[in-house]
Amino acid sequence: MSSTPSRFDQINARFRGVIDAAVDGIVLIDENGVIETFNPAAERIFGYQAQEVIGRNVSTLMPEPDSSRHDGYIKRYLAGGSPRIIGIGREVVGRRRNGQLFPMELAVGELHDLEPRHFVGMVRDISQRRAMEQALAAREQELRLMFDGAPIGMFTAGLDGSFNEVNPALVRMLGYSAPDLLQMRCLDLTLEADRGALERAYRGLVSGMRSSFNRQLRWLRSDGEVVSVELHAAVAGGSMSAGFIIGQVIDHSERVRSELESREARERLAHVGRVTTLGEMASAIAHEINQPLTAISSYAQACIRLMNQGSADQQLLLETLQAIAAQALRAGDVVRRIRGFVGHRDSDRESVALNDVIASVLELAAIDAAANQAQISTELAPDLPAVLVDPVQIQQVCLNLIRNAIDEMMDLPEPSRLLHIETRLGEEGVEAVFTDVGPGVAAAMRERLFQPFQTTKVEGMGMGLSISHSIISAHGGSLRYSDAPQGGARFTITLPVALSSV
Amino acid sequence: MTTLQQTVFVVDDDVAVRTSLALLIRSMGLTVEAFDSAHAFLSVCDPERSGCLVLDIRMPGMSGLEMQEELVRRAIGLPVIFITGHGDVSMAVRAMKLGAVDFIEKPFNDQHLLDRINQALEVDRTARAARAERATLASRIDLLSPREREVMERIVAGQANKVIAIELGLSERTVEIHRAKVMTKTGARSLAELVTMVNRAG
Repeated sequence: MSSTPSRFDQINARFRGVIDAAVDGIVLIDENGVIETFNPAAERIFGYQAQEVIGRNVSTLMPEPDSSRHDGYIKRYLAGGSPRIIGIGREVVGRRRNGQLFPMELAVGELHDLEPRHFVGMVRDISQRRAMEQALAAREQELRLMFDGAPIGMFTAGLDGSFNEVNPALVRMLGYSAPDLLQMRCLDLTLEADRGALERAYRGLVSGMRSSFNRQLRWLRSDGEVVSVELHAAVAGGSMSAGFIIGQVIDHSERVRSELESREARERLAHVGRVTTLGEMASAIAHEINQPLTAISSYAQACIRLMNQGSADQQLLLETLQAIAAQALRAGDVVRRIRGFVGHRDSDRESVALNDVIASVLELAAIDAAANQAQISTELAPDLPAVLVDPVQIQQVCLNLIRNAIDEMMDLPEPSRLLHIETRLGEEGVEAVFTDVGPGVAAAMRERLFQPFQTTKVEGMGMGLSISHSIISAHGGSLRYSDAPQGGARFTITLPVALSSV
Repeated sequence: MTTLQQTVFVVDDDVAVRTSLALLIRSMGLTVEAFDSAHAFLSVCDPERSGCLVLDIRMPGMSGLEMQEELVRRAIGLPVIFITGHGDVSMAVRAMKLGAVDFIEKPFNDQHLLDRINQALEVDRTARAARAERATLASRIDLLSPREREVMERIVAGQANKVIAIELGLSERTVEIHRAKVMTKTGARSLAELVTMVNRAG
């Protein structure tokens, strides 16, 4: 029955099927290294069709130096050498038809029951896996760098809260060594009073009710000092059993303290600056208050004399009393303006029109300008967007700039003492520009202009511009000096536009 | 001697201070004229008028001090009382060196002000009287002939007639005649009076 396959044929066909269906490449060679079988998987891996390579030496499939040495490897093994690869399997480099080299896993077996002897190679292309491994390693290294170099504390912890890894910033923050920390849990670091809050947040995380939490906590350093931290914790790792916690810790106390300190210092300085500026203006202000007081006392004493003489004309007395009342109000007005300026209060930012701030400064500055026979002209742009500022602090800066300008112009003849104040919308925000006709700032002074204790005045402390600069910087703006086109000094305040008015 | 008409001139740029001060001074029974600037006063100022100035030290335009200097330059001898604010001490010192009668700090006590004003008016009266006397004496001395003047100078210097005669190459008799003329023309009744007159006439 020629149509009935023989048993051998049946077995052969069955193996053929297995070989063809294999995921790994299978290459069968004889003892001379000549390829006899090349399965479809091998075709895919190496890019050769089976008929192209069957009958050729297997060294075709490998790069130098293996390629030219391969016959020698077989001979050495057949001559009784110990196997280098047979029965072991290892990672080698293969060569595709297009010349491309790639990593592959190779397992070689010997077919003992065939004569002549044959070898079978099982090949798995691992180039993709290798690429992924390399990408993962790079990513891992990247994360490691971030973790180790982060300025904030970071850790990973098991679901029980015990630390798995801690970064150097956390070590520095807490004062414990890394090995010590790895013996601890978040809870152990937390101040007794804050443990309840942490545990509640923690349960929410572990129970899967939430994926992350933020808590303000007080932790104890190794030296017993309390650190205020903000802990952000999130669950990672998918399933609850394999999950872990990633924690980020910000040393809140340090930030809060330094911010508070610098803000307080700034406000203290601003207050000193206001008082100093007023001190410098004291003579002008005293004069301004003294005028109405003088008028009041003179009017009153005149009334007394007239009445004592019995020659008082009712109408004259009435007019004089009215004049007294008006002068008392005038004195009160000056006092009100000073009080509004000098009062020590917390920084309070509000959305205001810079023009209004400048107008209120001019009320007070007018006294000084008049006393020193200086003229102030203004050019305030209408419809400017609002700025978010502490109006009193900005007043202080403006008054300081006006004061400086007047001082600088005192050597000029009276009619030419001119200060021009302009507001406008610039590229970086709302600008106030103060231009005087004084001598300007000497080149040598310019660099240190905004540093403290720099002054050209005999009685000046040299704090004004330094304070002004720090106030404007704290508002996110800038205070710059430039020479005025016609000579003289020009100071430009730039303040960012309040967000609500954009 | 008829009563001298004296005026208190107030110069202050502050209308309230100026008006109230003028009223106060008027209520003291004095004659007042008020000006709002140094220039306003200087443009109408008459050196012949007697009185005093009450002057604000700190004024725009020409300050009180500058005005005082201008008065000195123009040889207007009106006594000046400065009214000053607090902290103008150095200015006040300068003013006193230039011959101000006084300075008064604002606000002022009316009696103090009145005393200062009366003192200033007195100073002006005395000064004017002295100037008038000096002018009279000078005009009398001007009546002397050159030779009589030579004789007078030597008499006042205390030289005897004999010495004068030798020095001027005159007879003692001629010196005696000149001496009599000097006494008559100057109106001096004694040698002592003549010496005083000559000294006063400068």
